[in-house]
Amino acid sequence: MNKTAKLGIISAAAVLFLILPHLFTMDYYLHIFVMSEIYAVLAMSLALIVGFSGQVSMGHAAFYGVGAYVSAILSTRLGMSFWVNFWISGLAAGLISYLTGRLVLRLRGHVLAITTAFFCVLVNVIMVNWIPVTNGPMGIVGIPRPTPINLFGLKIAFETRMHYYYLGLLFVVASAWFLYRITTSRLGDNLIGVRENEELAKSLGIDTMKNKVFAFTVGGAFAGLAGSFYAHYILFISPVTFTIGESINVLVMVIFGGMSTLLGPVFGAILLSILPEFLRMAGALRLIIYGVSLICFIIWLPQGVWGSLKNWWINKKNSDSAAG
Amino acid sequence: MMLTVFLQQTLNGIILGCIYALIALGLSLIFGILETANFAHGEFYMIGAFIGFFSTSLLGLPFFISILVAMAGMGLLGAVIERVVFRPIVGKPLINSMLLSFGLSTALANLALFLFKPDPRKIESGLSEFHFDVCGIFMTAERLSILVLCVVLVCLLSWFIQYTKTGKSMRAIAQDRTAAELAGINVRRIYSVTFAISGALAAAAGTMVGAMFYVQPDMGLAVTLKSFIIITLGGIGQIKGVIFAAILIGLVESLGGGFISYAYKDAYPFILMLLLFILKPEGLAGGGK
Amino acid sequence: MFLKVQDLCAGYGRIQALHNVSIEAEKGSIVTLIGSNGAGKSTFMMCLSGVLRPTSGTIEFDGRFIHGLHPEKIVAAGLSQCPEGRRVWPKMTVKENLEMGGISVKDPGVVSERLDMAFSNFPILAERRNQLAGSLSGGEQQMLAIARALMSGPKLLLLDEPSLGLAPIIVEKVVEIIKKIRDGGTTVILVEQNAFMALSIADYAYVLETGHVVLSGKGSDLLKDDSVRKSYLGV
Repeated sequence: MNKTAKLGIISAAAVLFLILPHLFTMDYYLHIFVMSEIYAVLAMSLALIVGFSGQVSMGHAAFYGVGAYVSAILSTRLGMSFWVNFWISGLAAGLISYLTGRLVLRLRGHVLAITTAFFCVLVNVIMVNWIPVTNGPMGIVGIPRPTPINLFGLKIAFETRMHYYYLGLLFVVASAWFLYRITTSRLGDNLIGVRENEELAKSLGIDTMKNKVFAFTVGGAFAGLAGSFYAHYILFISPVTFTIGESINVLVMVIFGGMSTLLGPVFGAILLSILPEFLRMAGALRLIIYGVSLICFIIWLPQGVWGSLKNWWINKKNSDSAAG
Repeated sequence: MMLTVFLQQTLNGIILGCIYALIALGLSLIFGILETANFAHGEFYMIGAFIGFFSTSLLGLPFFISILVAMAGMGLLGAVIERVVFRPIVGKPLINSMLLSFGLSTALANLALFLFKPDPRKIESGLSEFHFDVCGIFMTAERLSILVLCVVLVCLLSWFIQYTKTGKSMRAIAQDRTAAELAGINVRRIYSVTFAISGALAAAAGTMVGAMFYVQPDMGLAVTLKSFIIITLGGIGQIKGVIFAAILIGLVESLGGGFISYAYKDAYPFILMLLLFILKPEGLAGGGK
Repeated sequence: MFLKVQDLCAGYGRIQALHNVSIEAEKGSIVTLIGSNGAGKSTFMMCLSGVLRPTSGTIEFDGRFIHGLHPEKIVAAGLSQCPEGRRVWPKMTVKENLEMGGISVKDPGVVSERLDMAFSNFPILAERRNQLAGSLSGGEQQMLAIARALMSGPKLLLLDEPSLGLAPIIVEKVVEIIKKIRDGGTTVILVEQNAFMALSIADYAYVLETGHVVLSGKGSDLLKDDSVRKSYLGV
């Protein structure tokens, strides 16, 4: 696909995303869009860990939760503004994922997966039981919206979902750009090397541990940022949101979308935020359909929807040029 | 008095542990031989329990025959599931089998929920009326025969793996799959057999639990998680390690439930796991084959 | 031609390891593949045994096409491999290792016969028959691996780097064994980094470099070839 066509598609997509909330104005839809944005960042950051460096992490919800709680506590107890908390949450989540990564990433495969799963449970248990700080199972209420800002003379108060939508869009695009820069750097190549064949990478002199921890840290930090956004959007958080189930949810989005790309997980996040709404009609069969589709996906589209489309496109190009 | 309660709970814990051993050994086989995760293992256990329940209640078969029927049924289903669902992803990264089996687990558990409704059922073994007292410790014929059956099954499994051609093929594949292929072992057939055996063992355990406690569609989840704890503690492929870990978990659950709080009895194995994780985070790698 | 490989291409993921490799072997001969690490020799062997699926090309053995067959069918057809690094099953006994090597043989009487032959050909294995294979020395494990590969009664034996990590005295022994196997009627394909040893006993040889066949000829001729001597014989 030549450059102009690519540019054309990207521009069209950008326009679409920009006018979306004006096409679907109902609160119900806008809510789905905002949640898709949050999941998009969660999915991309998890893709960095799972897709690019090949480390199976079931603990992503823990960092999501750390970010949410840090933001919530800072704003409700100390009156700090979202615009500050956001970054602190990212740092906090990043720090915790760094420490966890140092500890846990020497393990591999299923042992790593189970350990991260238990880490997730552990963090959740702390959320439930450390009542003086987290308020336990009752959660934290009354989280303030982001303080209004002045943009080009316009005062923007985050009172409607549409405002959140645009802020979230900015969040997703900025995160995507940042993560994209990482994956296309030499660090990214190293990470892929670790994913494909860790022993080989080590023998080539790549410090695999350092690279894995880096991916884990950055991934965790972005999850924390997403958590902060979530807290100041829903305005209420409780441990029930940050469980292993949620980690698996995000993991499924990454897989559905295609874990070795960055756009794939975004696609998966959008898909899996919207699809369940359709399936609600199926009632009791909903989860059965979910389970069976997951199985089918893993068997037939292991590179996810996006990855498979990419491959199909590449193969088509190759056979076209071979024939022509 | 305290001593009697302790001994009683210890006995219960051992019986529970033996049942867990059956389930965990099956999972350990799948892990060791196919190098695949199976998060749907608890559902094999649950389906086995339902087969056992319908055998006794609908078909009126005696308890031990029902166990055999459950084992045969789930064994067959296990082989089919291997062929259709797991075979396509053999050799792929672990995350594929994790998510695949997670999807399978969700599908099976909710299918059972849809078909059988959430109400718990009980399997009548006809043996629970006979009980006896040994120094104040209460024991039913049902529990005793379950304990004996567990021991028999574990011994059978051990013998099978150690001495039969198929069992040796399984060990060979677990130790070096490529060498096994080169020697002419039909690896795909062994994969099916492994799933069949795992399914059968889980089904036996499910039927036993169905008699001792109850049968319901969501009984699988807690069991899957506990099995993973057990094989992480015991080491993949280490039969003795897994049995020991299973009994340990059974004891922890039983004694914790008896002495601390029954409501949280499912939590104790997790707490044990967390403690181990905190105290010895590097020491959780699996053992040999 | 007993074995005819034509235009074989194979790889791992995005890496292509073999590029249009064509190799032939006459019945009853010793054919060797030499080349440095990463040249594609083991990839080639794994394709022959059916463990790795080639992306294109054909493999014809004893009159039938075997590419694309499952590994156990290829063993049953009479092609057996003693893999690189020996790969004996460490937690099984010597006897068990040998028995499992004969698993493709239906007749237990034949298996029993071959087991006895293995013990008489490799007395050291007879001595250690009930020992765990993991406790054997490198040379003993190599004997075991070769004996195991012979249990299926192959018409064609693939040997992947049998001299790797072995003392020169043991290597000599291995050479004798290879010759004996060939004399017994089995065709041998030998992959070796030890070019001198391989070229000395081979009837025909191929040189593999980064997945391409760059040179081929009689073993004795290649021994005298200048480029071979420079690159592989350290002369």
